[in-house]
Amino acid sequence: MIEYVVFHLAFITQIVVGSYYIPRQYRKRVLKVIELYPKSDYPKLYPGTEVQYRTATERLITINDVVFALGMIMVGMVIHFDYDSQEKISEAVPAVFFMIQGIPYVLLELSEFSYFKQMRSLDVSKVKSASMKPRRLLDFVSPWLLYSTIACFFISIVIDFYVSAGASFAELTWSHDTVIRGLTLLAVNLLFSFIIYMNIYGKKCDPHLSGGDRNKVAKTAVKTLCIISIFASVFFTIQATINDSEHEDLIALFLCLYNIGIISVATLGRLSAIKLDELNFDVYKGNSASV
Amino acid sequence: MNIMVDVESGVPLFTQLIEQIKEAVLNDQLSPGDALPSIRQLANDLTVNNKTVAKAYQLLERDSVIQTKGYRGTFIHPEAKKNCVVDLNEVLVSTLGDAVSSLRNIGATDSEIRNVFQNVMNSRAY
Repeated sequence: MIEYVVFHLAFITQIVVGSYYIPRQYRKRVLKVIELYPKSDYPKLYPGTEVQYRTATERLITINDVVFALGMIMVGMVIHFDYDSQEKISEAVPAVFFMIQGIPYVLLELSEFSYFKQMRSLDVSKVKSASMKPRRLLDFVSPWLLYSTIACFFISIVIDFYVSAGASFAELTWSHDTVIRGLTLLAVNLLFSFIIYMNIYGKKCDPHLSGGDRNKVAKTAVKTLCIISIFASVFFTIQATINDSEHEDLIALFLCLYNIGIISVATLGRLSAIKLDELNFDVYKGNSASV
Repeated sequence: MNIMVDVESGVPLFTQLIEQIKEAVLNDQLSPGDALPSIRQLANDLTVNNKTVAKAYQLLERDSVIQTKGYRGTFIHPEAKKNCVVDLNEVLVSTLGDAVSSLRNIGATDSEIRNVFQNVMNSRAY
């Protein structure tokens, strides 16, 4: 009974944090930028009109409100059906909802790409600047965090395969689920490595962003991805360990906590790490050149 | 230290890069042993073609202003400051000028000099 209550509390927290609280924090940030750095003074910041960004932000809130309502309906259904059947809580519930919850964030990322694309197409500056200092991975992340991320990845894979195969570990008799989990974790980490590479060595998405601010943004992205990778490794390890055990019911709860962690680190962590007053907005003024 | 290129300038981009790196070495903004960004990093930051930066680095390496140490990266040459002031173009003009004058003095015509110069350049012996 207690695990049902805790699960529902965690699931409701996932819904509230991901589809209510964070979108509003995001809107607050956008409106603050528009208020503090208006188009009249910072024309390069707005490839479109201010109204467009206000409308897009409100649209994001509306989509999230729909997802929020859907989440609450799911909570109601889970309470009703699970209490009726008294079977184990399916981890598919928070997993499926997490995917639905991610849709507005994917749309947000895509609109960000289009925003920067517009910005680049309007960039008429002919003088380009670059730092002569080489960028290295360890300039962007502490060795401790980087090595922990790598260690967690390998430990997770080893534990999962060991638990799956048991005494016959050396005979390569791993379960289908273990192989899928291992490949998923590998794919996630390869994707993260690619994003980290592009953040550090790739082209600047924002053509006006100053070198210092670019480093700040890249540092936050690298740190965020390392933490998310650790979360994924830990969650997969927990899942492998308690699968098919008497604590199997807890997987859904851990999945909720994992989802809350990912959403919070990926959005709130980034918002709090990149403070507006620490960014150089002068590069978006009319006659400025990015350095 | 920052480097700047003007994409609308009449001076080729790789020449702008070479001149600014040499200037930075002469002004002690870049010291011997300092690491330089990779070709890809610099090209991405300046939004220029990788080949442009590669050409600049190649010519700087030829002039012993920078040196590439395999996978460790590219660094400022220990003798960079001295090598920056060597104007290879000036050396070429002066050496070839002396050679042409000597050849004219012994009676060679301009046409003969051009033909022989072309043959020598095409020859594998030199």
